[in-house]
Amino acid sequence: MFDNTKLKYAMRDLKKGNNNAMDYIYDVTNRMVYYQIYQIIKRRDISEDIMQDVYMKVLKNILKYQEQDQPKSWILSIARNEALNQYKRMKRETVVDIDTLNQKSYDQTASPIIDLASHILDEDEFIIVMSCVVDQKTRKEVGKILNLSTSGVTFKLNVALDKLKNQLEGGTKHD
Amino acid sequence: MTKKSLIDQLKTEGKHFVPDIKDTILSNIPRQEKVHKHILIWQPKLAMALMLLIMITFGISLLPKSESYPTVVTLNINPSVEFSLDQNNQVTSYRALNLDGAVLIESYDLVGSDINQALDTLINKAYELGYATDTSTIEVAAYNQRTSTEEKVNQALKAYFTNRITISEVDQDTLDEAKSLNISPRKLLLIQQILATHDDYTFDQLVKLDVIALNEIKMAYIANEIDLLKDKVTAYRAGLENKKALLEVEVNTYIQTLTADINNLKSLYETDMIAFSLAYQTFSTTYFPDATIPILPAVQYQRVLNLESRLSDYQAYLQAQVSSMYQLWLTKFNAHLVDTHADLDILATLELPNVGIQGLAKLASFVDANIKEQVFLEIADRLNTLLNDMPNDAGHAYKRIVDTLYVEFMLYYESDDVSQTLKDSTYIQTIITNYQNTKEN
Repeated sequence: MFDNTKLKYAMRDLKKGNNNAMDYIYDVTNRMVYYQIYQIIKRRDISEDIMQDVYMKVLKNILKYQEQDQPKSWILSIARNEALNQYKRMKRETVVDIDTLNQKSYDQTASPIIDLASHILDEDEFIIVMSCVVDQKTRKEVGKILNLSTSGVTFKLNVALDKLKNQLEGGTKHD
Repeated sequence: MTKKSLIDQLKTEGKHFVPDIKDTILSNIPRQEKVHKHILIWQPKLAMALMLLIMITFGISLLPKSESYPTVVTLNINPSVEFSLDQNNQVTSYRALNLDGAVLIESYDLVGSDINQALDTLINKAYELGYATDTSTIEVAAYNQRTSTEEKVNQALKAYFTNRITISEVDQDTLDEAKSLNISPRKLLLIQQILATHDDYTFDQLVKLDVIALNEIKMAYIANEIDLLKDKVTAYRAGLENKKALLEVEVNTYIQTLTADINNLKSLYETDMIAFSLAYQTFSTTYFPDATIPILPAVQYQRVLNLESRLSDYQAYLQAQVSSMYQLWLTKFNAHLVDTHADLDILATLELPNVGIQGLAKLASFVDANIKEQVFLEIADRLNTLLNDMPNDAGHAYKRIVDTLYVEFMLYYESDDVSQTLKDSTYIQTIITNYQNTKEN
């Protein structure tokens, strides 16, 4: 189970120069970081590279981390910024529309439903689905990270699952 | 498609969705050499497995019994003192955590005392010495590896002392955090306090330490300084005792000289009246410089006899003066330690009082005074000494003893037991003026 206290102390340790703390920080944040990046980039190879950049950036910017910050939210905001910057670069560097580039038949990938989810769900919905369903985190825990109430997470999760279900069934209920 | 099948499929896809690139990422980060003990912090399950292995290998009997975890209690006023307790909450050992704490505990033997009594004693002493005032916060915290025991002892202390002390309350979040970290809640609070003020420690380092070691970090405990303080205090007190012994010798010598002078006068009065009168003038000028010398030898002789009859009283008065003066020195020294927070550098420059028999004698006042006036004079002498010796930056403790003595002084001054002549004397009026000036400044 995710332990916010330990993560806070690990962040504090990292801030004080104990790089070994990154072990724990990575272990408890990597999945959510990846979800955040993937939802924006939608390409696995590039997401992996960005994930590396994110943790290097965490190390580089650790002195800016404040005790009162939610550590996961802070790391996720770095991930989001990195992903968005990369997304803009990708858009500039190619004449091909990035969405077009990513357009492929979802059932040809190893994770067709997740890929579909990354396309049709917004950031919060995607992270909520991945965290609550795939990682089986509690809604309270996810709400804390995303700065949402537990009922807000429940609502968004239901909306997201309905969207996915409708899309898979060919419907447009929530679109 | 049902929601359930959708969820199942998401779970299946999600199993291998996130790539494992931990090694790649960590290899890019410069790392400290890993301490094996960290595994115990970050991997409680592994730690438990290791513990289980040790239990099987060496036998459960070697492990400490759960009820034998010692309780540590800290008292923080600003003097800080730490007690170790047995299972019956009796003090097994205690120590000062700072120099003020060393001053506070120095005259006690609290081993074997119930913790409530030990705390009571030191709290009362803190008030007496001036460390604590009505507005002071007296913090007490009990620590035990077992959260339930820790809470029980804290609650017992709270019940005994009620609002006389402050016990840090542990909220549910702290309880949850401590539980998840497998440490007691107040140890967690202690670690948090240290981290808030000490940048050079990490949580990882602190969580491995026991409460005793954490207290040392929190209080910047330096055993050498405390030992040095004990030596200096002992040396200074020995100096005061030596000074007292020298004064007693001076008193006895003074009385012997006075007795010899009286005997000489008596002898001359019987043998040579002119020589007596001349000797009396010298005697009077020496011992009663402000007195008018009577013309008639018979009156002079009467005064000599009167003085002789009060000589033993006077000796006793002087001896009491020495004892009283010695107590005053000790009080002043304690006030100095309190006001300077036992600063070793300031202590090194502290000189012994420079008081001789001439500062005590006041034979003329004594002869003219009744018993209550003698007591009044003795108080006046002490007050005068305190006012004259008052440092410019006198602290709370010093001012407190001056104020206390002044109240005592005024009790006599305002009573009918002291003659108006003595009240109006230059000596007494100067003391009052000096005190008022001190208050105004």
